[in-house]
Amino acid sequence: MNVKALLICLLPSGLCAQGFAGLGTEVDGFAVPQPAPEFSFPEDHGAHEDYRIEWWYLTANLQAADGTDYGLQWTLFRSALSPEDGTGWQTPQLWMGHAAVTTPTNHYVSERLGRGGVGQAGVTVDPFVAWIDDWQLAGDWDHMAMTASGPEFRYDMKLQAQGPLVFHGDDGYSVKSAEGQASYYYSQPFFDIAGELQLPEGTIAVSGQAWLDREWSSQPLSGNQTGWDWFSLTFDSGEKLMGFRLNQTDGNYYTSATWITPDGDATSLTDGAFQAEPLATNAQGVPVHWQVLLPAYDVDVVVEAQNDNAWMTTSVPYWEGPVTVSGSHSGRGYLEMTGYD
Amino acid sequence: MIRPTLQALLSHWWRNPLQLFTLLAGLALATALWSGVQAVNAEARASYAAAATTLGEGQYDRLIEKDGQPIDVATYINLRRAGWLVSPVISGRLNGVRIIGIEPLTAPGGIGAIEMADGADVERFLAGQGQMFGSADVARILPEFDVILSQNAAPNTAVTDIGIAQQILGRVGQIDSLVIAPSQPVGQSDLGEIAPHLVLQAAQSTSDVAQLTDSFHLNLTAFGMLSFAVGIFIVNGAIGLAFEQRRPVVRTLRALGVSLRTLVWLMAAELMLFALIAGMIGVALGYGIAALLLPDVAATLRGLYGADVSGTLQLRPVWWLSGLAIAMGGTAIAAFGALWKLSRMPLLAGGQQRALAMAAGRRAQGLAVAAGVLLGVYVLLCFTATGLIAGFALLACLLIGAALALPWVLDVVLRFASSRSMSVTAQWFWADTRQQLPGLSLALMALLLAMAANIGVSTMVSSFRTTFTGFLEQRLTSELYIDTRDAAQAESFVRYAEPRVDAILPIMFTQISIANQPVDIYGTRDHTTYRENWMMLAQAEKHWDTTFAGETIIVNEQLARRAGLAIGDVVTVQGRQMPIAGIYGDYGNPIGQAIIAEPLFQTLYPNVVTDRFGLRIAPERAQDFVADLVRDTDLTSAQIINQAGIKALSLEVFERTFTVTSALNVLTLAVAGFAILMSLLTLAGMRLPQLAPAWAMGMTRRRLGKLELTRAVILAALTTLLALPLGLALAYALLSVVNVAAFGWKLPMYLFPSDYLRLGVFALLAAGAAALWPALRLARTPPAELLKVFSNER
Amino acid sequence: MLLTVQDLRKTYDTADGPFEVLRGVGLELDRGETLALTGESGSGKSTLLHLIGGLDTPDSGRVVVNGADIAGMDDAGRADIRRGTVGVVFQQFNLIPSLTVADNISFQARLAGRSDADWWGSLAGRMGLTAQLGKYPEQLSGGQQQRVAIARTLAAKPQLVLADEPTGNLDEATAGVVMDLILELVAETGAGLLMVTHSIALAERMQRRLHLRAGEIT
Repeated sequence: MNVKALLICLLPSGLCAQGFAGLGTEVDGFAVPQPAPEFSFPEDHGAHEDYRIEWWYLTANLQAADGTDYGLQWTLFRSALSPEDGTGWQTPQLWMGHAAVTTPTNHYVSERLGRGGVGQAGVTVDPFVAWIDDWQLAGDWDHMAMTASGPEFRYDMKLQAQGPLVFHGDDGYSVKSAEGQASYYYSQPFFDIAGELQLPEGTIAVSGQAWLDREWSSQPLSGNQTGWDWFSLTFDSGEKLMGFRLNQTDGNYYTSATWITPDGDATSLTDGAFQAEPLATNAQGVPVHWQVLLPAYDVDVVVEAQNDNAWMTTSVPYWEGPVTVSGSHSGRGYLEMTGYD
Repeated sequence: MIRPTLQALLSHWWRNPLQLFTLLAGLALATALWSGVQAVNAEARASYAAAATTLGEGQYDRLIEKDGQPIDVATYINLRRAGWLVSPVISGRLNGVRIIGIEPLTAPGGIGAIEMADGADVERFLAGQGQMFGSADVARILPEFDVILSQNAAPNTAVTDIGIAQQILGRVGQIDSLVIAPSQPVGQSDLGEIAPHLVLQAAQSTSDVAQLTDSFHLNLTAFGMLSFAVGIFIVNGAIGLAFEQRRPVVRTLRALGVSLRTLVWLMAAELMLFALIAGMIGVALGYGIAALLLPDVAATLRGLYGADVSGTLQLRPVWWLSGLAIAMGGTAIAAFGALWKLSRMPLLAGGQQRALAMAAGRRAQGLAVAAGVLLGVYVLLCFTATGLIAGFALLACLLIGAALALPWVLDVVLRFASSRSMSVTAQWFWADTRQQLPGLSLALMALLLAMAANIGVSTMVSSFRTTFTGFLEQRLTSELYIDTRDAAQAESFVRYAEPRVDAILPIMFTQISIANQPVDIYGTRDHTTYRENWMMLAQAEKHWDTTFAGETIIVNEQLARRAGLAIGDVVTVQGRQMPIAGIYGDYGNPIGQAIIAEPLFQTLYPNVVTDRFGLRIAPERAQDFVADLVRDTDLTSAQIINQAGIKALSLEVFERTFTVTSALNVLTLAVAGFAILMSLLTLAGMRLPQLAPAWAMGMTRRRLGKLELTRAVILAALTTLLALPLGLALAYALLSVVNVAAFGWKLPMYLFPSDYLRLGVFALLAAGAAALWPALRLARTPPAELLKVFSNER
Repeated sequence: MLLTVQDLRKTYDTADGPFEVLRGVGLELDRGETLALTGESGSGKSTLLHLIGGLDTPDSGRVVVNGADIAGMDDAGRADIRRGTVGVVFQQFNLIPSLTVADNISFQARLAGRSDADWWGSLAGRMGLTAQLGKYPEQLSGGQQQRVAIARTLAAKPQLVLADEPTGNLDEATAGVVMDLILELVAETGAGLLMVTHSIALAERMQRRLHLRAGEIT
C-alpha cells in the first residue's frame, strides 16, 4: 500500500480499515457535540476545526427539458488529523471532495483530495465559499453558485433557497445511537436548482430541487454500528422527509427522522418511528429498492433507485443516487447507503 | 544409443581435465567480466529509474518556471483552483542526501514508489513531524530524522512531505516543479492565462541523469564486451582443440552406428551443459567483481554527474539470466565452426594430414584478407565516423582486424628471424616456433587485445587527467569561493568583502534552453580573470569586449558541438538575438554552458539570486581574510571553499575513475595470461613428437625447457610490440571519435611511455609465468615418455 | 539370404583423374557362412567391405543386408544398420581411448541396446582380457587392442561380421589365436563372416573364398 492509499484511509478519519464503522472510534482532544445547541450564522456555515469531521453535502434531483431524470452530488468533507493547530503545510486539516452526476444509464464520479493551510481547499464564512481545487459552493445561502468537474463531466449550477433552514433532532442536536452518540445536523432542503451538465452525452440544461446538509461531529457512530441508509425525500405535496437507519453488527438498527412541512416546520421523530426495509438488491447486493414507513404521517411508500449502479468508486466506496417515490405519497429524493463494500 | 555415446564423448574430458578446465575457466572468466560490468550498469540504471520514479519525471509531464526559478505556492494554488490537477515537488540536498518533498494527497499514483513500512505514521508524515522514507544509508546520514526504511527508495534519497522538505532545505514557499496528473477534468482553464511564466516539460522516457551517464556506461559495456571477446577466443581455442583430438573417436562412433545428426546434437548439448556450469560460475564471479567495483563506480558517477547510485549490489534475475544466456551464446559462437566442420567430416579418413595443413594455409590467408578489409574500414571510419555507434564500430574494426592479422605478421617476423639465424639450434628454434604459431595464435590474439585495450584506455584516461588538471589550473583562478545562504547574507557579505579583497566575482547562473539544448547560462563580471585565463578553442575578434558590452555570447564546446554552432552564429536568449563570439573548452562538464555580461544577465533574469562568489585576493592574505570573515560575519567556514579544496575534490573523482579502469585492465590482462598458459599446456602434450627428435639428437631436457620458456617470452614480446601501435590507434579513436560523440568534447592525446614500458614488462612477466609451468614439466618429462614417441606405432 | 551384393560400382576422384575401384561386383553370403575376400593392394577389397558395412555409398548397384537395400539409405538409416545388424572389425582397432577396456567391449552392445553382461564378460575371458578390463587402450599391446576390438564387435551379436585384415597388425602366433577365436565365436552366434585378408593361410580357413582383381571378382 502506498502513502496515498493509506492517507485516503484517514478520510474521513480512519474509515479504511474498519469501513464506515471506523467512525465509531474514540479520539481524544476533539470537541464533542452537546445537547441544546445555539447556532450562530453565518459563522456556523463555516468550518469547526475543533471537531474531527464535518461536511457540506448537497444532492439534487434534476430534470432535463425532455423529462429525463438526473441526479447530482456535491460534497466537501473536512477531516482533522489532530485537534492541534498548525499553519501552511503543517495544518492538520485534510479535505476531500466527492462529485457525481447520475443519468438513467451512467454514473460519473470524481474525487479530490487536498490539505488546508495552503489554500487548496477550505471554507470561508464571509463571503461563504466552500472549495477544493476548482470545485466551489459559494453564495449567501439564499443565492448560491456551485461547480464541480471530473475527467468525464462538469456542472455549473445556480441555487435559490425557497424556505428556511431545518434543524434535525433536538434543535440540530442529532442523536445517532441509543448510547447517545450525536452530531450537529441542519439542512437547507428548499433549494431550487438550475444549470448545465457537461457530459460525454452532450451539454444538457437541467433544473430541479436540491437539498444541502450540514453536519459536524467528532464521533458520530456507536462502536457496534457498521453504516447507514439515509433517505431525503421530497413529496409532490411539498412535504419532505429525512430519515436514516444506522445498522448494527447484531442486525438491529437505530432510526431517526424529520418530517418537514412545505413551510419548513420540522418535527423530529425518535427511534422506531421511521421504518425502512429493503425489498430488492442490485447485482452488487446493495438494496436499491426499499419500503419506507412513517405511520405517524401515514407514509407507506416504495423507494426505487433511478439508476441501480450509482456506486461511488471513491477511496471509501458507497452508494449514492437519485430515487423515485411511489405509494401513499409520490415524489423524488436521494438515497445514501454505506457499509456495503 | 544416447547414453553410451554421451559417455564416450564426456569421457574425453575426464581423461583430459586440463582441457575441460580451460574451457570452463575461459568461459567463466568471459562471463564474469561481462556480467560483472552488466551488474554495475544494471545497478546504476535501477538507481536512475528509482530516482526518476520518485521525481515523477519518467512518467508525468511537468510544469517548470521558464527562467529556472522556483515556483511559488500561490501559482500552485491558482493552477489547482483553475482545474489543473498538478502536484508540487521540491528537491535539494541535505548532508549530501537528496531530499525530495512531495505532496502525497495530490501526487498522481505511482509517484514516490514508497512502501508504507510498519511503524509509518501517516499523521506524522503529513503533520510536519519530520517523517521521511529512505534507505538504510539515508537513516545513517540523517540520524536526526525519523527515517522509515523503504525497499523501493532510490539510493541516497529521502522522500518526505513537501512542507518538511521546504523547511529542512531552507526553501519555505518554494516549489521546483509541478507534476501533471495524467487525467485532467473537463473545462479547465488555459494554462497560458493562469501561469504564463510556466512551461511544460514532456515526460521523458529516460531520466536526465540516465542520458547524461549513458556514455559512461557505454564505455563500461565496451570494456565488458572486449573482455568477453577475449574469453571467447580462449573458449574457441579449447573447443577447437578438443574437437580436433576427438576426431578419431567421432569417426569410430559413426562407424559403430551413431548417426551424424545424433552426434552433432549430443556434442552441442554437451557444450551447452558446460556453458551452463561455466555460466553459473561466471555469474557468481561477476557478482563478486561488480560488488568490488560498484563503490568506485558509484563515487565516479556521483562526482562526474551528480547521479546517485546505490553502492550495494542487488541480485536481479534479469541480470543473472542474461549472464547465463551470454555464456551459452558465447559458447555457441565459439563452437559453431567446430560443429560445422564436424558435420562436414567424411566418415572414412584419408590423407587428412595434408588436407589439414592445406586448410590451415587457406585459413591464414582468409584471416589476412578479413584483417585487411577490417583495417581498411577502420581507416575509412576514422575520417567519416560521427556518433557513438559508428565510434564503436570503428573500435571493433580496429581491434578485430588487428587480432586477425596477428598470425600473419608474426609468421613474417619469424620467417625473417629464421633466415638470418646462423646456428643449427637457432634455426631449429625459429622453425619450431613457426610451427607452434597456429596453436598459440588464439592466445596471442587475446594477449594483443588485452594489451591494446590496456594501452588505449589508459592513454585516454591519462590524457583526460592531464588535460583536466591543466584546465582546472586555468579555470579555478579565484583564490576563494563563498557560498552564501540567501540574498540577505549575500548582500552583507559583499558589503564586508568589497574593501578587503582585490575583486569580487559573482557567480550567477540559471538553467535555460539554447537551440533546444539544456544550458547553464552565467552572468559574468568584466574582469581580467576571465580575459587572461579562459582558453578559447575558437573566437571572434575582441570577443571579451563585445561580450562584456552585452552584444555577444560565449558558449562551451559541448553546446557548440551538440547544436552545431560556430563563431558568428546567432542564438536566441530570452528573445534576444546574440551572435557567438567565442567557444571555450569545458572539460568534464556534461552539459552546455554559455556566458553573457553580468548587467545583461540581470536584465534578462531579474529573479535570479546571486549567492555564490569568487574572490580574488593575494594568496598570502587569503588565510587571514577567511579568519576575519568567519569572526566578523555570520558566514561559517563550511561556506568558504578555497581553490585547492575544489581541485582536490575534482581530482579525487578522477582517481576513482582510474581505479575502475585499472581494475578492469588487470582483469583483462589476467584473462590473456591465462589463455597463454592454457594454450601452452595443451600444446605441450602434442609437441612431444617434435621435441623427442631434438632430445634424441643431444639436447638436454633442461635446455629444451629453457627454449620453450624463451619462445613464449619472445612471442609475447613481439605481440606486445604490436600492441603498442594498436593501443595508440585505439586511444586516438577513443579520444577523437568516441569521446566527442559521448561527451561532446575532443581531448588532446598525450603519450605516457613509462606507463607503456611498465605494461610491457607486466605482459612479459605474465607470459613468462604462464610458460614456466609447461617448461618445467617439459624439463622433467621422464625419458621413457620421450622414447614412447619412437615406439608408438600410432 | 543374409547378404546379397549385385553389380556394385564405385569410382574415386584421384589426382590422375577418376579411378573405378569396383566394376560391377556381386556376391552372396548366408547365415553361418564364412567368406574370405582376397586380392592385391588396391584391388578394391576394403572399398567393397566399406560399402557392405554402410560406411560408404556406391555409385550404383545393390547391397541387401537382411532384406534391406542399404545402398539407397540416408546417413541415419545406414547408422541403424551399422549399429544393429552389422559389426565391423577394423585393421586400426578404432578403440575409444578415453574409455576403459570394459567400457570399450560393452560399447557397441550398449549402442545397439542389447547389452548382455554375462555374454561380454565371457567374451572378455575367452579373449584373455579379464585382467585388462580396468585399463585404458593405450596401456595395452597391439594384440590385446585387436582382441578388444573383436570382443566389442561380437559382444553386440551382429548378424553379419565384417573384418578388415583383423590380424594385419599382429605377429603370426597372436594372429593364429585371434583367428581361432573369431571363427569359434562366429560359429557360436550363427552370424555370417566376411573377412578381407591377403593371407592365403587365413583365407584357407574360410568356407568360401573370393578373389578380387582390378575391381572385379575372378
